[in-house]
Amino acid sequence: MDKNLILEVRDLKQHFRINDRLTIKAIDGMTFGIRQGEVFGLVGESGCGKSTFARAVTGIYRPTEGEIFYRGALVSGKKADANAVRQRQIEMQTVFQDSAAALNPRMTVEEIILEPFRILPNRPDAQTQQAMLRQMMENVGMAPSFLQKHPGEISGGQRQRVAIARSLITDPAFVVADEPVASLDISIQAQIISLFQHVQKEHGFTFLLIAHDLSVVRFICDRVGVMLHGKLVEMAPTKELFSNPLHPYTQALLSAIHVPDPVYERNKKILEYDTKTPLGGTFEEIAKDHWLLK
Amino acid sequence: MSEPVLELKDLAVSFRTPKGEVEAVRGVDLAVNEGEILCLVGESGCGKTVLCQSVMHLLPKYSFVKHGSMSVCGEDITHYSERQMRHIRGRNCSMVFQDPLTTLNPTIPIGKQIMEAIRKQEKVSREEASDRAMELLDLVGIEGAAHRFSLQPHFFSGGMRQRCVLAIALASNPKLLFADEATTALDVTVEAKILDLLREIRQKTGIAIVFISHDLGAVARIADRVAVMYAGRIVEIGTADEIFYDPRHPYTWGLLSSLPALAAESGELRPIPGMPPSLLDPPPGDAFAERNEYALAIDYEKMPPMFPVSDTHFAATWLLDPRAPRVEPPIRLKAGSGKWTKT
Repeated sequence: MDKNLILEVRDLKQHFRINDRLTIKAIDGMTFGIRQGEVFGLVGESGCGKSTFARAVTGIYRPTEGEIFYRGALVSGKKADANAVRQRQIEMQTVFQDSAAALNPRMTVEEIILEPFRILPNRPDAQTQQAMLRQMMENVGMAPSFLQKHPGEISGGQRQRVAIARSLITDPAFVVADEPVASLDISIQAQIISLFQHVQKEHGFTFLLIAHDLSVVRFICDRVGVMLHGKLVEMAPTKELFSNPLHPYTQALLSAIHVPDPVYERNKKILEYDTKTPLGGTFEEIAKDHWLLK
Repeated sequence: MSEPVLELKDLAVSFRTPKGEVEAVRGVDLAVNEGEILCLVGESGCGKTVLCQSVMHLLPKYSFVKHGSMSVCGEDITHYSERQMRHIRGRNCSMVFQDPLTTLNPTIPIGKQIMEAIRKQEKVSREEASDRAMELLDLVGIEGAAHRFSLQPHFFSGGMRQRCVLAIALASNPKLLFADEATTALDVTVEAKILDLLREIRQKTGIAIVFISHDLGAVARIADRVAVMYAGRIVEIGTADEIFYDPRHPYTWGLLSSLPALAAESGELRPIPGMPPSLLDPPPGDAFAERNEYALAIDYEKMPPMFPVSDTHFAATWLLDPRAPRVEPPIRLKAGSGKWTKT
């Protein structure tokens, strides 16, 4: 695989044992890497393991099996490199779907956004922090008057902006966003997507975007991976995937995207895919940069 | 033309809150005919849900109808009591909500829940009701209805549950169905199936459907007519083709240009700036003026009336007044192309 991978997973498995008879295989063998500075989209239907993947790579879960590498160093399991784990902790930031649950209701916006500085080994002094805070508020399009408010006093779109500001304030190298716009209104969605696009270009961080809305992914991502039953079934650059989907599941998923165009929609045929079909075992590169589960 | 199934005349609904009166719906005229699918679109808080719940009389006690009237199947139900409403709900109009899991009772088998809905409205025997419930499960596309009849909701997937809820809503052959974000919580592939199912049911039964959604893609698939709501008022209404291909209101332009699906080629989103106004103290003029780059001076002072564009297409914007300057919409959607082009 290529050298400039910032994150790599090898045969990653995340199983949840419910009881003696039932084990949920949320992630069931994923091997791929995310390159430095790219916007990678992970899509799939609910329950396919997208969010579990986000939680596994950020270190919230301990993987059942397999390895996670961050900047080439092992960060999972017992043999993990402690320095690399620490580095990932500092450089990786997350934006969650439900901003109401992700922000502490008893902290002010200012406290929330500045909190990540606490884990930085050499944090800037208070004055620089304040300057960075003002700049960040401007970047995410919020007036400084919001700083003293609590999350309960502001709207969902504004809360999501605060969550984004919090994740970007330490200038992270890697941002994981788990359905960051799913709970927002269309016009606010567009504002947040534009914001992500803008700040990603400016800061150049690597961005893992998890979404079920394929039109958002198509709009913002460089590469896309399609997940089904805890496995990647196809992975390709966005253009390639949307113009030449090879896996029947990807084809079905793409055919179901709603296009806000009545004539187009009325003539559209939606492909069927029986998700009970057994999946193939090998994930192969069948064309340049186009991977398929066979 | 037969009598409309749902007719709203200058309907206004408000809430009494400690901070004052919140005007959630501010004068809506709307008629829905038999066998028609009307989609209500708009941002959250624009009054879509309040509009439907006020017809169903499901709003809390601190809400009240400020003025106007509503009638279902020619019957004026504006001031109906709870007792009178019980005869209307289910028989004349019913409603499907967003989350099927909270709508269904988790402890009671699906079949029994559908039978309950049938037997509340009609005096039929257990056997008859159970036969009807089977038919309904069949109608909403649940295979192997006989096996699934006695299963509790948690055995079903999200899409299946929503089908069950739909079966309950259709139990007493209503003339009018409100679907409030009924497919929002579902995956795209499942959503598409439910949308097609709704169209199919409309074909079979001639039911009128008011479909609430903020997903314009879903709306494009299902709608005959579309009404765009903003800050408690309908700002534009027309057939689906008119709204998507020839929108006239700047708010509709804004909605269409903030869709990533249509902007995939051009790579540029044009979000509507700002936030909807507070309905605690709505502005005197056009509520959208603050966020509207085409706003005229009069927009801040006077509410625009509905200007007719065609027989079926109306829009409330001063831009349609003969004295207004001519403004070209910023984007145009060519029928069937699936993407917009800048003009």
